[in-house]
Amino acid sequence: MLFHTWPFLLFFAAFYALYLALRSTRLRLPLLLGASYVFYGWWNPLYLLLIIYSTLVDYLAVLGMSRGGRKKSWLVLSLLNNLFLLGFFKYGEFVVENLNEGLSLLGPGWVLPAPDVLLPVGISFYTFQSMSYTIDYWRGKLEAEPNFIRFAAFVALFPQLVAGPIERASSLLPQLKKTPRITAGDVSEGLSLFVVGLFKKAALASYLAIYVDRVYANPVGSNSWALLCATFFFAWQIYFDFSGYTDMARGIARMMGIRLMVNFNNPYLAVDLGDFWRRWHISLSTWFRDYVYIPLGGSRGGRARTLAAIALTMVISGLWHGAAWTFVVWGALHAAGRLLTLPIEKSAFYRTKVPRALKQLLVFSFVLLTWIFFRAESLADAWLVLDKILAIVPGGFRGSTEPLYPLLALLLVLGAWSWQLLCESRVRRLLELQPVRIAAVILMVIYLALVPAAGDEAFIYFQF
Amino acid sequence: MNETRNIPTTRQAEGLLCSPGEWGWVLAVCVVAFFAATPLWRSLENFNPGEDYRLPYAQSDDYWHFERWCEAALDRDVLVVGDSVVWGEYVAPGSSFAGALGKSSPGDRFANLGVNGIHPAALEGLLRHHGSALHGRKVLLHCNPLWMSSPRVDLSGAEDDFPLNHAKLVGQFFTRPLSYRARHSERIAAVLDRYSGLRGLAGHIRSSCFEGSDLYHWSSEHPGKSVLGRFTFEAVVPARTLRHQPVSWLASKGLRQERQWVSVDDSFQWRCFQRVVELLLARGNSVFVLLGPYNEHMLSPRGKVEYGALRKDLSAWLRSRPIGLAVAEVLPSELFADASHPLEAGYVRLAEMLAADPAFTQWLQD
Repeated sequence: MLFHTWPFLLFFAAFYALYLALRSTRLRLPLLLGASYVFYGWWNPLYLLLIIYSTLVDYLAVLGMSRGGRKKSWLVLSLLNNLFLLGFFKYGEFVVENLNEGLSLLGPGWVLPAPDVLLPVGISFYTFQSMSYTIDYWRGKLEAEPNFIRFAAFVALFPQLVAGPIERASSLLPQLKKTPRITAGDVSEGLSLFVVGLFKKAALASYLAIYVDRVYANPVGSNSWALLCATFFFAWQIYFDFSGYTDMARGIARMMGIRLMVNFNNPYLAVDLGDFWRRWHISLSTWFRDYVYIPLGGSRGGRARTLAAIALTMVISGLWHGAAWTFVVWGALHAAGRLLTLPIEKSAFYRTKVPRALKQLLVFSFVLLTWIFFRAESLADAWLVLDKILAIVPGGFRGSTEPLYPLLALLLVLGAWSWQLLCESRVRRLLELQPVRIAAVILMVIYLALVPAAGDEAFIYFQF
Repeated sequence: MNETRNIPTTRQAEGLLCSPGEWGWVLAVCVVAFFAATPLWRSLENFNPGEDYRLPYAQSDDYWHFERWCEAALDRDVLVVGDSVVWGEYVAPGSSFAGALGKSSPGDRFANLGVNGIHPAALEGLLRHHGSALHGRKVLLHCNPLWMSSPRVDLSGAEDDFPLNHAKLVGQFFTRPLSYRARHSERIAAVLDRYSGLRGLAGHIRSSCFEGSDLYHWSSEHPGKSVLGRFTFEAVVPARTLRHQPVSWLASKGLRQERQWVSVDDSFQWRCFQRVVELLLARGNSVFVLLGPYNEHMLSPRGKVEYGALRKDLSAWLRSRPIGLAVAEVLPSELFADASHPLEAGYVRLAEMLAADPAFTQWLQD
């Protein structure tokens, strides 16, 4: 069930009416959990077995820890279980494929059978969310949750179950404990977030996807300019797609009296790569910071160790996005970029002399090139695209520009970029004026009603 | 990475949050805009259907425009309703069934309300949700037995891969055909389309301005063309060129076919057709049904017998209703283009047959 489809809107309308009626009763949590499982099982009821199993193991692990003794064993059990689920369902095929590549060197007949399993939607998100609970409990940062229904609702909370934000137990569980206070402001602001998210997905991301898919399906037949355009559009497609989902998730949760964290904060206005990762998929960046980077030593173990921790965290983060070498290279490129630019970013010259717009352009250009590896079907395709795009520099923009990009799409992207730029400028106050906000929302609603074709394309991040 | 930075929980990057009062303004403006959109578009779009107007083929699923054509056709005496046999698959607009009727019955004006591919299950939806303008008018309704010529086209089969024409018009949940397997989101959208003029208008804009595509796909396919330039506010004029060569099925070497006729008791499409008749009667329409023609020359001797029995059953029910009925005679073989579509001379023959039918002439005079 996707947020931007009619079945979800009907499901949510029915759920919300019940939720409002039952929110101050003991039935609120069972209702929330039931609705979350209906939402998740809509894709495939078999997925429910996995999420219930994962929830049960982590719940029992923390219960075991709370009863004293063998705390570390319980933690290891929980981590191994989550990593095994993730490894088997998400990376099993990738590992076997690569093992078979190696085994083929030994001669014919050395072939391991590939696991024929379906990747459960959102497994990377809910396993990370659940893991953070056991780790935080082990670190003594939160109390054990005695109520299984509440814990299960925390793991499966439907607005953010399949694509985040990856919430922390310390933030979400307390909200699930108390009776939610839902004000008219919560409903109206939740609705605003939902409309903005819907606009990003249905009006912008879906549009850009048409061109991106066409060009990336045939990088051999597409020229340099088209590939550059498609990569530029993909950068915005993935932003609109994922941040749109997050906005809708936050909006839905807000209407339920639950506040989810901000996941995107104008990432293409970042002035350095560190800044980019503080603005892009914030819930994942902070997760990796707290549970990978810091345990690896963080910034406390000397310069070399810090750089190694950054590099390793980035590569793992790349692999988290997908079981393919393209994602590993994507993560590695960000790691390399981060390591190379860290001294520059810290220099007084960069901080004070380089114009902000130039910094933003440089960061965006680097991020743009890395998206090639994220989007390409294979490493070979990615190198081809990169090679063709870089050939623009000596060859200029001469020659055919087929396939041409739609001007309207470019205008929409530039409009969104300009809006973000203004939001971070002194003009922000102007944009926050009541008539401007009302006019913007009216335009979005009318545009959504008239222009985008009905479609139910899945969100890009569902595959992760 | 900055370890000391807190996870942001409140800042809204886009700053477009509206208060309840502001949402009141948004809703008020949107409601006004949505209600004003349809009349505004109608006043802007120039639509002057000529005497031989029929829905352009590309707008076969533009039901918003069908509604508008229905309203415009109210100045005609008789509204001819049916599928592509009425629309005129192998003939120019002026030579369709309605055109031929106009020539054989010069005292009356006939409107071609035929829609390509509109089988009875979809016709029921079309008239129920988009044909209320026809209320109380004279309707000449064509009954095409082709839709009962196999469980597959009758929609009483359960094949997975049957490409259903006008799927948005059929029952979506409780009375849906067995072979209709659309996703829930499509079915809910189809139901909403029936009641939302704005969604209908959006569909009309897609079909009239963007060649049936949505703005996004159209602009992606035509990146060099201006989007604004597509808004000419001129209704699409039906093409004068023929969709198919007007060649007899004999000349095009059509094959004789074995049909698996579905009986009236088991036929899904027949039940839908019956409901169409009842709907029109309930709306106060004066209804005359033309049953057939069907190209019996394509049938085997056994097939002819089966078809004859079916036609008898269909006629029996139609005669039991307070409507006029004419059963089309078997046209000469060379006047058919395929199993059910006559060529131009076939329409002339049919029109002459009706003009000579006292029941029909009486119905016209009533």
